[in-house]
Amino acid sequence: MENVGRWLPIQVDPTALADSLANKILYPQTVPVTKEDLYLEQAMYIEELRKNPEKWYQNGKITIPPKLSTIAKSKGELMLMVLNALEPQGVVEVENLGIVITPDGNIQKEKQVCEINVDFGLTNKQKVKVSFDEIAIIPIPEKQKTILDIHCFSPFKLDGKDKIKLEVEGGQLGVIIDARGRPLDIPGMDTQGRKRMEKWRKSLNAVWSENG
Amino acid sequence: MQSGAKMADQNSIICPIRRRVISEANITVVRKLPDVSKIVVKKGEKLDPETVLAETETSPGYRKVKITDILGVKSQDIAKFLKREAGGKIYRGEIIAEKPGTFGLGKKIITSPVDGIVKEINKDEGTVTIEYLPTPAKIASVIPGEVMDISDKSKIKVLANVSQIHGVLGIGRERSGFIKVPVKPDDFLLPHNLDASCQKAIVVGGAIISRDTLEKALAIGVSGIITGGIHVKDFESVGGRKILPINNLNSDVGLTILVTEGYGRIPMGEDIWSTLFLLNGKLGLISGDEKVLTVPVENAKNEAPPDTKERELKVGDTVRIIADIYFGSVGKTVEIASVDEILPSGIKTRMVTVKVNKQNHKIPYQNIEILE
Repeated sequence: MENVGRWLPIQVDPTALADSLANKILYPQTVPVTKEDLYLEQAMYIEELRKNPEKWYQNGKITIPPKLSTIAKSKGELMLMVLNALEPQGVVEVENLGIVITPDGNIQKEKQVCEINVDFGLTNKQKVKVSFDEIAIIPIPEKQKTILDIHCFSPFKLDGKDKIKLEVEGGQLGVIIDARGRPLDIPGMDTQGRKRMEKWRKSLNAVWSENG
Repeated sequence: MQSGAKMADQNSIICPIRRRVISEANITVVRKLPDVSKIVVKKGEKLDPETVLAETETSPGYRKVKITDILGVKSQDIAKFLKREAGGKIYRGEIIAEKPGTFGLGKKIITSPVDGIVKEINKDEGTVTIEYLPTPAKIASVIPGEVMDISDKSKIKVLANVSQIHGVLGIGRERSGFIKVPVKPDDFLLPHNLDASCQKAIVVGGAIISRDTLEKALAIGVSGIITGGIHVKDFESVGGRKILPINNLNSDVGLTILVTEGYGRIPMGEDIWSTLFLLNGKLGLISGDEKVLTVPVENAKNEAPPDTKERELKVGDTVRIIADIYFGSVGKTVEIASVDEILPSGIKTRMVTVKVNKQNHKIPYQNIEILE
């Protein structure tokens, strides 16, 4: 129950959460009606995928589990669930959505993980700085090829190197930088944990409006 | 497990059927006996309530003793204080664990509440589980009828006139008892609702039963409890194993529980409660493992229900809602939409309008089951 609860973007009474989960197991055929129901469905499926993530990798590419597409309300939400469930490492392409770059390493404090110079074809290159526990989107248009000049700061590395140049193609979400470290330090069910979840959802535009 | 509702085509919905009340019908009742039984009846034999079906050994259940709480120690340290090993016999009053005091003060002793066998010492939970000593027993028929079939050396099918209540969850082996209905369907079943007169009874609760009521029921010697809802943690505490993910629990603590609605606080369905109210004082058989209460009746006034598991949903059908805030509510189908609608969750689906207590609610078709 605690494992599922940590993926919820809202704080839930543990007793009510356990009862809801158990009723969902009792009646697996039911569909989520409210956004809270959907959060629960998403959290349950993330935990299920985490038991066997390798199943969705093929030749350095992640195939999105079909059910995940049906329970995500946006591409950003879908990408976040893929990152949380499958924890890609290094440079991995996520089917249709785009490349995900995850520097190797971990640290338990705020620190800059990497700095990326992006050549958008303008006079000056654009600089993107990503700190630990952040997710960032580099808005490279879909199918556009771009050179990324990546500088990782110790202890982080990419492909075993501090500095690396990559040619990438933008996906539907551009290119994603996941600087949350591996293995992922999963949020607790407390207020701090919910804040971290909310931050990640905002980064990927996965926050719902009042109208859903 | 029941299969879900589905669209047969653009205009018709196939829903699962739940038959949870069978009233005064002549049906085949399946008696599932403990594995060690020696069945003494034969196919075709007529049964009275006192007829012995089988001879067996039963363990009335087990008790979990929380060493950490009583001694005030950490779970990983309990081995230091234990005076018993797993697998050994222990008798009521004998010492399970002891923590010496300081300067002769504050000594703590835990004694066994029952005669039994030390089944498990769990250092993660800090508990010792004692299984009651098995005792020879004869399993009485309780339900008059005729033996139709004996299979697997543990199942007897009996044709009998009965009323039955089928629940959605249950724990505990088959037990008999007189039915007692002390509360209404949306009440809480509280410790003060149980007294000495509930010993060996099957007590009918309301919307929920709590841990302290369960413990009092165990202490008094209640045979069984029927409740609308129960919290997962309380259900696990009497089942002894984790529900999530759900496994076939098949465990017994000395009390049989039948849950009619689901997890959480959910009023018992009016159809179930009113049937039980009419059966107040009657002798019944409750089985948590089979999730059923069976009560013999004199005459069968109704036909045996059909075996169909699903059918097309129609306006006028009585349905039960099995998800979201109306979970457990029963109502009549007023309208079946002809086009899909998008829910706040973003899911696109066909909606069914259900009238519950004079109010109409739109419910996704996947979230209802037909009640027959």
